Amino acid sequence: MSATLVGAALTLLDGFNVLVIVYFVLLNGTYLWMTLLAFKALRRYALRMTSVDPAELMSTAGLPPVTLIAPAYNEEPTCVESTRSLLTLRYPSYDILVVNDGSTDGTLQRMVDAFDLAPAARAPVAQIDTAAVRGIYRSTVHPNLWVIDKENGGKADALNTGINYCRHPLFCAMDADSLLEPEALTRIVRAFLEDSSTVAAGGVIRIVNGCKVRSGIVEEVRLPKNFLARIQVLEYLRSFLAGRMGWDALDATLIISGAFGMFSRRHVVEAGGYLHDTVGEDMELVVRLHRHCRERGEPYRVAFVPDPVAWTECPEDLRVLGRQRDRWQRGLVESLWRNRVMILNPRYGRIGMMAAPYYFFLEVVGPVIEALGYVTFITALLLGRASTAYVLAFLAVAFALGISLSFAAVGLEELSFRRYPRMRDLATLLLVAVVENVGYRQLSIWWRLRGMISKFRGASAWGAMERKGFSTSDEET
Amino acid sequence: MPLLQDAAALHGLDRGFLVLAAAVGVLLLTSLAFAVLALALRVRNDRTTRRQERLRSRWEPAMLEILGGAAPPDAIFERVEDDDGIDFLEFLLDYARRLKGEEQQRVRVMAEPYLPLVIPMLREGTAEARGHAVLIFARMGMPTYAPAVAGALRDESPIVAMIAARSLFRPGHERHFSAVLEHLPRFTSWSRSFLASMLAAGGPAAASLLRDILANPLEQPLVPAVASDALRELNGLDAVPTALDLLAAAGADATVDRELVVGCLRILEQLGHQEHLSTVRLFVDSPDAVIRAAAVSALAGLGGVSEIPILQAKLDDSTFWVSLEAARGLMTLGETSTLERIAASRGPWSLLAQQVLAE
Repeated sequence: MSATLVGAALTLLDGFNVLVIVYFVLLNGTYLWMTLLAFKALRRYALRMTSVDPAELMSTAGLPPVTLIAPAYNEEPTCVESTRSLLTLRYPSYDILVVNDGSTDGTLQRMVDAFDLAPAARAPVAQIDTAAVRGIYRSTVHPNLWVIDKENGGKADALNTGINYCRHPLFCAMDADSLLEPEALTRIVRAFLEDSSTVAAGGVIRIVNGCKVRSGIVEEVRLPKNFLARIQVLEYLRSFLAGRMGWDALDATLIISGAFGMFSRRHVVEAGGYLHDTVGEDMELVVRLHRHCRERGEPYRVAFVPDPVAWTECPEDLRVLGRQRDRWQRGLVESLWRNRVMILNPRYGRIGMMAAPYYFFLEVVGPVIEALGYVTFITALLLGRASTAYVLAFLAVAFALGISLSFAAVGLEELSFRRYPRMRDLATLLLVAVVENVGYRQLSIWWRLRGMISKFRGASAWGAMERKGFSTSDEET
Repeated sequence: MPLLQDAAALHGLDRGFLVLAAAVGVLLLTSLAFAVLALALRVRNDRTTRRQERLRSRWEPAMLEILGGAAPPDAIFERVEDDDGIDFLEFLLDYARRLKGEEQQRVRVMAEPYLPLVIPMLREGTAEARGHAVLIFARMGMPTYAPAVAGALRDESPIVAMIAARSLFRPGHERHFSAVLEHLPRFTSWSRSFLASMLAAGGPAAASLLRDILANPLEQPLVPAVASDALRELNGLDAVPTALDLLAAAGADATVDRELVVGCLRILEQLGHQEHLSTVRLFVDSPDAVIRAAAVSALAGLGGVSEIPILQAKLDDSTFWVSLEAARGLMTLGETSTLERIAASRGPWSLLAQQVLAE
């Protein structure tokens, strides 16, 4: 009897090891495919930009007015600098709505002092349920700057409040601590001009740590000195230039970062706005917009645009970074679980048959398989069910693939936007691509796994991000 | 796979292991290739940047002299080497984008000898290269290369066709207007306001053609609506009778394009007279809120005190936008007392009234 049990356990062990290998091939095969698609798409995009001049587009009277919605919760160190950056945007007509989400620090007072805010009347346009609005202020020096002060309700609630007060057909959702490049709006709005069925478009997020910032504008791009931040620079390159560009080439964009995305107000209001009870409200909204439009049979497009850039501060210590990744994973799980009807459902086209299954089976379930894979490989080794040479060779394949994908992402950056002008930065990125595979990658799996666990334990906390503020031209971090 | 089997036998390992080992090798080589690619791209980009800077420093002083009228345009030709023709055009394109009038004309003269270099791009290049070629011709090669630009309207790539259309629908190219308008249905996926702005850039000479489109609502959906917006931007008074006719017909026909009705109402609002109020009133109770809002706005734009009761009633419309237009209309007509009363109340439109009074 016990021999039978042992036999069954060993068969299970062998079977799981096969599952790990299948997962590994599918995941990395998808990554490679996306990277190759991105190479082609980015090359074409860069060429196309030589024919479409943002300055000329700016002179076009047909640019739609836009509302920027920036939720702020305890952003005292960065809120003024970020808002200044928004005021420098080169765009003919836009409102800025900073939504103070019941901050307990001096965010509101800093804004009042810095921009001469005075109480003003502004009627809501939509009626999405939100926490109570305490007051509305308008800058006496910048008439397009408004601050909505409300009870705390979370980021989704703050965004919904902004949507309720948005009078323009398009709104741009962003983090209050993000710095938009001056031409970011002109570049991202192009997706809506070129295809009027566009309901949402996402831009690129880049890491501001290490860069020189003056008056809310990134003046000099440099790699951060902090090693963890450097790894994140590489991660963002992989994620945006390879991943999202590749999915966009397949017309299957499922993620738009909460730090910078533009949306059709009408479609978002019709879909019910952001959900309050998820930590991944940005992804959930995009998934729901897909679902909403598909179910109505409405032609639509969700686009990724690779050249509008929002700069954001990234965590520089493991504790905060771990919390962030934990939250991202919970958000991913929640977004897909709530809309699970779409997974492998042909009714939802490429989203249902490709993007959603990829994110669910490879990105959600992936960390579990990968973590258990480490355990079972070691167990198999100890029980003599796998040869050391095999396991080492397999790990070497994983290592080499990881490096390949990262090097390719650096290549994509060089092919397209070349934001890091110093040769030293390029060499550092290549070095980081090698080093991150040992230690950081495994840690990342643990954080994502922890996110899954905390999701099933019902956690809903955000985890605070500790802001340092932006380094100015006079000081370099 | 005898080679693998032999190697396996030699080292006492099975074939599966060798496949894995081979995969490691291939992947490491791929990594190396990507790293080399990144570095090679950097080296190439740096070299390109240095070359452009060198060329720019060679051409810029002469360019400034020519633009300032201190030297003739052909004074720069001796500084352009045979292989630098395309780079020189790119250099000039940068100026052509920013300059106007006589200075731009000088840029065109400088570009002329080098423009034939672009023809192969238009014939054989990718869509992006063709688009760029069209842009170069449009900025610096008109009217000589107008036929090539007009030919690009038929390009299989919509972006190339759009670059051509935007280049041709400008004053001075009136003979190509009809061709652009013929291709307009290709661009209906573009934003309406963008297309209207493009057509309005044609100036008054485009108005009669746009009126013809407006008068023919059987055109593809959106095209007449775009024409109505462009006519409004052009202040085309002659469009008013056509808009009135269309609205009169639409009043009895629920199938008429909503965008077209809104476009016509906006024409009346901006260019009409009080005698057109009766037509506008037909739409203030439309079941479509977008039409209702446009009608209320037009009523205020055209109306006098006689319209105040309608606007007051429309303050209670079920749709915010209609109420907003009604409130703004009351403000336009000087009926602030109603707004002040509402603003002072605790009613549902108090905030709206305060907002409009503050605007």
